Amino acid sequence: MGFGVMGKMLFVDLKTKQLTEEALDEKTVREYIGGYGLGAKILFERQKPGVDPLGPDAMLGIVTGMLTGTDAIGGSRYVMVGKSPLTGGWGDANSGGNVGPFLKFGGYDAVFFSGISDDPVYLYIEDGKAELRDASDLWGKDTFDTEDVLRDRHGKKLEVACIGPSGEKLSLIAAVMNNKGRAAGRSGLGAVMGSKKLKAIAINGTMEIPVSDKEGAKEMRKRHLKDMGPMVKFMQEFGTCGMLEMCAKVDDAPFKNWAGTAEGDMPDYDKIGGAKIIAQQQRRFGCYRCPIACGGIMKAPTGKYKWGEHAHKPEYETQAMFGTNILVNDVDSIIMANDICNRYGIDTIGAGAAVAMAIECFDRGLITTEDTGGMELKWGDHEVAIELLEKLCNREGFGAVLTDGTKVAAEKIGKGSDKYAMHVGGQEVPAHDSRGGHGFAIAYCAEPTPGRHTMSGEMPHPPGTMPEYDPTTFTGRGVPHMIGSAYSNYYNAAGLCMICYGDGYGKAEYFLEAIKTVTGWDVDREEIIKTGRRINTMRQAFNAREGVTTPWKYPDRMLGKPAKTIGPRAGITWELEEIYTEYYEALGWDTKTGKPSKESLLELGMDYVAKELYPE
Amino acid sequence: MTIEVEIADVFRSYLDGEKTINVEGRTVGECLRYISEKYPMTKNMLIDDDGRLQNRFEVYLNGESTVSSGTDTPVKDGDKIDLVYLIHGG
Repeated sequence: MGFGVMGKMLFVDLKTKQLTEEALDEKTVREYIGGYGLGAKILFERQKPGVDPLGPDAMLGIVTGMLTGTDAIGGSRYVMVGKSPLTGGWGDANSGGNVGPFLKFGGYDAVFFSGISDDPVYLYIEDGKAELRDASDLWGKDTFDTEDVLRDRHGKKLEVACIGPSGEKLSLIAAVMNNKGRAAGRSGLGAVMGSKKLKAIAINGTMEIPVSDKEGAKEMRKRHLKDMGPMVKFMQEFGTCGMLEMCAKVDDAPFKNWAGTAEGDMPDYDKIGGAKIIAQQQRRFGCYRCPIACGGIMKAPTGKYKWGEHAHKPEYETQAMFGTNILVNDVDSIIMANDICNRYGIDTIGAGAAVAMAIECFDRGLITTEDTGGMELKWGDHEVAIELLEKLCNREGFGAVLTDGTKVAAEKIGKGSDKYAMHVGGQEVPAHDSRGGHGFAIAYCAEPTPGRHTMSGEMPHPPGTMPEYDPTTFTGRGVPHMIGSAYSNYYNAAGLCMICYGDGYGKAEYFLEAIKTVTGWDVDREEIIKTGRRINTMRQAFNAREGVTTPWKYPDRMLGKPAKTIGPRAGITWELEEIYTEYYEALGWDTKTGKPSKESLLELGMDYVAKELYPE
Repeated sequence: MTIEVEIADVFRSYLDGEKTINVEGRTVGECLRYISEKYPMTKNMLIDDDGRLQNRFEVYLNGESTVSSGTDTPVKDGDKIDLVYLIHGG
């Protein structure tokens, strides 16, 4: 079975309650690594094309990587995989905390669910054994209470991935949550979990992950910890919320549903900056064995917003989506919004974008208080934003219009509101501007999962990873972006945290060393790139078989149509074709449809995929 | 010659708590080196040992990005520099 993995996958039919174990062989791990690589391979092979993502034939997976839970720095991640109900294509979402490592300590590299249970259930795993249990008493509980009840039942060391009420109510922007504030938030996979009446995956695990060079791995970790990147101290002190002021200053952050600028609409953005957030932090929070611990737990509230105990620190994305994007300069309301989303189990980016869209629609007269149930939606009004967010999370009143994301909201509101729905292919745009951000611009429209800031390709990578390229143009960028994207696909699939990978690994060689030491494989840069391309191409092959064509379509506003008139990004207007074409050529994907070419599939050893996409 | 560098709130503890500092240099790169030498906590944060800008940072000169011209971008008396740190994730 190889090293770095437990060598075992679990398949759970929720309708028949049948649990089946299958071996995970080393060849598959080396070719697809784990995470969304392994997940895409399994779903391509076992899920029929065209299924309803919320129906019984859809599969949902929770998948670790071969570095998850090992001595590799940042090996804390798991990935949820499935068909996205938001985009209709491939879906994945990645989270840290402790669940990923403990799934392996519980004996499984991955679990795949199919069918729909008649009644709410949770999967309980303990040291190589698994069983479905009744979750009727958990249904309706928020994610915090769900974790608490399950820990009372199974012990304090239990780790839990679960959905909250938003997932139960099939919000298409629902998340899978763990550690009371870590989120696998994108792609709407919380709704898929809810559709299966699967409340939680609860794990007690004490098993050991086999490692090729166990003593060498310990020594390697100590050495890598002494030579982490120069920004580690900053990330330890602030985490991602530390960059808001800077992102705002250069209009990378969203203002006024992406129509505004810092200078023109919210020059006092420093009121919600990182220092203001950290002033309310009680302690840092770290994922499994993380030397950075960029997360945080907030102090008890002192103002009118009463967030609960163990409320997590808002990440940059949340800070921007519930701050600058709706012109709110009140830190407490952002902490509150984050806590609401975490408890209900919903993507803060999707929810923030939906709230911003609603405010703009109200501002433009497309909706009135008759539509909103009396709420006067205004830019900068954090009280009404919080009220609307609660309704959104609960699929209640006007919140029900927004809870399936901006694409569906535009369909419900009509009246040309789609112009203000800031999504790419159904996935809400994260809080980094594509206008002026070349790497983001490519990623948002060209990757198998649209609108994802964590699929950027070009950053963050340890020094020595990326080739030289001109950062001011798309010309000549296709191959460098492909290389960066391949590395991103590899480390994501392997179970590494993006921040630990980018800032924690002081040199590109350390990443290679971690793989070699844990697995025993003699990998090199060329294998990383080829394997990363294979993973990306498998995710895209899933899309192609579903009939999904890419590039994903941008809203005009995100292409600079019309262009901003003030600020450092004034005057930027891009055409879709100039953004992605070279990248697709470098990947061997069709520049009109995104379909991987037969030649590229064969080059990557994906012969059976080629046969299915190109039947003779 | 004096160039003003505005320090974001989150970086002030690295630069003796200053909101703005005055630096010297003929280019953006020389200004960054000046900061690295005067404020040891910023060593290797902004530029590496070879003077190359660390890949998470973008330098704005008088409100305009210097991505295209890089650390060789000339500066003149009265110019204003902003340091922008961009990370992903979160």
